[in-house]
Amino acid sequence: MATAFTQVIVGNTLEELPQIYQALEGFCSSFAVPDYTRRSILLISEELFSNTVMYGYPDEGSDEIALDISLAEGEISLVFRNHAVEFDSAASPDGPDQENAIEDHRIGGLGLFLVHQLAKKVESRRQGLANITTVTVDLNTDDE
Amino acid sequence: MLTIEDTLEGDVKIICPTGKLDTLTAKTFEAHLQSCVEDGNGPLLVDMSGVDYVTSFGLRSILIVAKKLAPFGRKFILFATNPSVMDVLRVSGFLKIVTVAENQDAAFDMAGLSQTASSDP
Repeated sequence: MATAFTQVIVGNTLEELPQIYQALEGFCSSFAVPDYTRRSILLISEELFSNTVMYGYPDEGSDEIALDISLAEGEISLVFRNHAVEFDSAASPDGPDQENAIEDHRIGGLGLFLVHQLAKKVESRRQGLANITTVTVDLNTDDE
Repeated sequence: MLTIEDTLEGDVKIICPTGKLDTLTAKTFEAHLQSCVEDGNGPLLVDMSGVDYVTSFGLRSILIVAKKLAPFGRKFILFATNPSVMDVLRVSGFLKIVTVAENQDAAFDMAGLSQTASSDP
């Protein structure tokens, strides 16, 4: 199976989020990505992009954030590149504690927890000043 | 894009968001919920049938409001949630910490409200 590939490069502001959606929707439409997988990669991409924009630039500097989307051998690969502060997205946070009373639930960390729940694999590395996060999702992931 | 309308079923306010509950819209939703919390002292019911996408930011809004209501014993119930949003609630663990009803009738039951009685003059 040939590799399908697309890339989107956006600025590090939340207003760029629709461009990420557009690139992902276009890719999914072009390559007949199943709906459950489409929803998963939309959610994963939004969570990682938003976390980067909201917490990765304490000096409020401008940056370009690149997202490579590819499909090969039954897997979708999402590769995020940015120059935000160093952050290890591969470290999985704890999810909500099911035993706690609702008043005691923590608010933070939920986005990255969702990413890890939906992805097959999350890898993260620092290359020079760049954070490179690669997320792999099974093409046929199904909730049935 | 998110629009929010409130409807009245008898004297019970039902919050009806339509669109995406995502990074860009969650604050709007949260502010609306907060105003509803402050406006009354009864349960808060949210008709989720118009929401087709929810992210952790949307979930945070829900959790923040649920945390505010819980100490006062006020119920916070989502209902008519579509399957894709239900997936996110399940995967995130939210089904164990937030009340989700199948439909409006079930939500009224869970809230201890009588839909017929509240609709009657």
